[in-house]
Amino acid sequence: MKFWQNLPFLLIWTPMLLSGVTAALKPRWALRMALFVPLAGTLGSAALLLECLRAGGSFLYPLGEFGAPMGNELRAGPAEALLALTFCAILFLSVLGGYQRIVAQIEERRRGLYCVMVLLLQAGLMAQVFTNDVFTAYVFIEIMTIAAGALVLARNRGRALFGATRYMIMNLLGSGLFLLGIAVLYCLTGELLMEDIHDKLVSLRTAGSYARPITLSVALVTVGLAVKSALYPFHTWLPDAYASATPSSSAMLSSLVSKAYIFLYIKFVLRVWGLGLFRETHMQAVLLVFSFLGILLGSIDAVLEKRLRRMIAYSSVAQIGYIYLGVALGTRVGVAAALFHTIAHALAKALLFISGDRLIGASDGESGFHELRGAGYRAPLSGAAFTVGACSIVGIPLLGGFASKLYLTRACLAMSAANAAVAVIVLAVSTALNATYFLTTVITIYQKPEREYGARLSHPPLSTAALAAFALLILALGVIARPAMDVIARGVDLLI
Amino acid sequence: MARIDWRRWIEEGGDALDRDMRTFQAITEAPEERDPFELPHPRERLTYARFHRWSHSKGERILKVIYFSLSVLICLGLSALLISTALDLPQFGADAELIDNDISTFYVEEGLRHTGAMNIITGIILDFRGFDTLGESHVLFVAACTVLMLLRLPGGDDPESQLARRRAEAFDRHFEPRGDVILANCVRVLAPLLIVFGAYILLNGHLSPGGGFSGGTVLGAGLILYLCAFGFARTGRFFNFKVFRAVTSGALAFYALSKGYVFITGANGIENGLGPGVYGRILSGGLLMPLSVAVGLVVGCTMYALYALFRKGDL
Repeated sequence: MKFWQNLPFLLIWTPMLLSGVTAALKPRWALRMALFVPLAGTLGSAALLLECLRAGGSFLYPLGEFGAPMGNELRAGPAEALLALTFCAILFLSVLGGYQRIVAQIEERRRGLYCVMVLLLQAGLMAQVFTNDVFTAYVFIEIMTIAAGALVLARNRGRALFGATRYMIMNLLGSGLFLLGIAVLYCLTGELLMEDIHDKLVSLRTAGSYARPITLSVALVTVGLAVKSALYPFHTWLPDAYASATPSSSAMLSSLVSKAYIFLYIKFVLRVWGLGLFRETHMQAVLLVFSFLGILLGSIDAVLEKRLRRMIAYSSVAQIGYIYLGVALGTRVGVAAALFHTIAHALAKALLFISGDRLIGASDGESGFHELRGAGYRAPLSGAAFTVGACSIVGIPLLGGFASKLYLTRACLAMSAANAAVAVIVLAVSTALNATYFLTTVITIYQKPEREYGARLSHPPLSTAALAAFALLILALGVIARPAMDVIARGVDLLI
Repeated sequence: MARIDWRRWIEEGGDALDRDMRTFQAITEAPEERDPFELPHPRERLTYARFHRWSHSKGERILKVIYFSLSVLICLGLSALLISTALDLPQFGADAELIDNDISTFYVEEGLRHTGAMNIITGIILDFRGFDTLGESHVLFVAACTVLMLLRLPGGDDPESQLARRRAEAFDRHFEPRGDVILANCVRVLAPLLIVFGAYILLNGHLSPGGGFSGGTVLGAGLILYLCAFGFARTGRFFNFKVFRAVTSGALAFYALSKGYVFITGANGIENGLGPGVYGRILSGGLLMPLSVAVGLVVGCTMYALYALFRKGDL
């Protein structure tokens, strides 16, 4: 085994090891740790991506000398490495971009623990990306759920506490359903590794036995992960949690936590059940309907919303609908488009939350739209960054969001004519709605202000550079969309 | 110094929660403000008022009934579905074709030879599937940190933090009376026994039933009992926040480091020098015994910390 093949394990293990150390540090040093470790993760996963592309395949990493199936196992390939790179980079840039807010909004005695949560969240994200074992996935789901809840309630104020409570209730329900689902799978197959479960499921299906428990387990895992990633009918916990937390936390929750669950779901679809079983149990059709509903109703909710951060939060509901639409197509192209959209949306949403909060900060902390007039002049860089993020989500060419919508639409066209027509109409209507709420916001922030505003918070220059880095990454993703899509498509082929 | 609010209810007696609920109700159930949409025509106003009243009295009641019956129906339906599926599942150990996998056979037959653990459960959770257990102990850690973040009172000298601490102290005295002779004398006998027994379970985890999680729970129970009988001042002499932080961080760091060593050497095919040793000895099974102790310390500290934080907001 070559040295670089240890990287997936190191990416999970280092933040776990350092989280215990961080708990004993002073807040100032803990914050540096929360910046340094995600940065190291970014470099490590970039190296892993390069090596994976050079080696041109995926590999398994046994944990312990006995290896799988006696012990646990990790798996890494181009798709996993690319996702790990995105997650670590966004985590780093979110902490950096919201640095000033973390210091201002979180009391000093909580700040050290906040950093511990960031590190544990990173470990959880990396574990979801690399694990090849369904029970390990569950263990790290627990870590991620609690850590993300703590990230919300770190800002110990009325609305945030309420949001965190709702978040915990709904997410624990989701974890429970997921656990039931994998318990049924384990009962039927006696295996925990993804390929092994898949092999046994195939033989059970050809024998035609236990059809009902298999369907139920597919449904339980689907609903569990859908609740946790806020697919439309289960999204009610989302707006309060996202809108009331400190902006770094909102960025992490919306662009990382829910995306990690979606990637886990994609691994279930491709590696545990296989696309055949996914279609046979009609879970694909169910997801298709819910993703359509999510795309439309999430956008309508966002249009109706009168406050900036809640609007951005509702827009997440619609975007998660897009990603599930790609998965629900049940084809390789669809899954690849879903992964591309995951990356494009994660970058744009983190940028929107952080720059949107700065615009609010420049308007005396008022988040209503009439108060935001002229915020783009009071905070020029944040205004520009917000514009880039909003344009990416609407799907303006040259930006990441355009390419992802294009790939998604192309993947939809492969369905039967009637379904494809519905999908394209839904996508078109939703794009119009996206433009309605995001472009009006952009216009609003560049309108003439109604009144004078007080002094605004000053942000450290490095922290402002994080916004520029986000905007550049979105632009880069739009420009090199073809090579990025090639990497993802190869990764998806290797996942099956 | 700020006026001390808690003194009043101690002298008046009564339940603090009740009084707080009354204040809370007075705030939340205040009469609603007038509707900002002033309707010009009196008939419009009348119609609006009628529908407004309907939606607030009758409409709300109807919605409540609908929600309640729907939730009961969904619960019953889901339970029926789950139970009927559970009946469809293979009987435990019945379907030979399904359980025909070599993993369990391997654990039972080869586990002792590979791990040196007489108690194969410990061998499985700390060695074969050690990565999951590493995650599980971090679940406890993250839970303890979250409760710490949420409930730990500020330690500063400003009047507000002092008041918060005094109030917590008063709550604690009110709900947990001190100086209970029967409890204190029982605990004098029980607590040392429990702690020694917990240590025994931890140290013998790889030889007899038990291990990190069960031993740690017994340890934590001993500490909690001690706290109940003798109060925070006496427990704080040997177990305060600093000790908690040092023990938890140290144990987790040791656990993560040793597992990292084992995993990296294992995956790269390097000899790690941790043989199973002589079966049945206390110092056998490689790192199993120290790992059990580390897990046990984390579990015990977490249990104690959760109890103390919920009770008084500090360790």
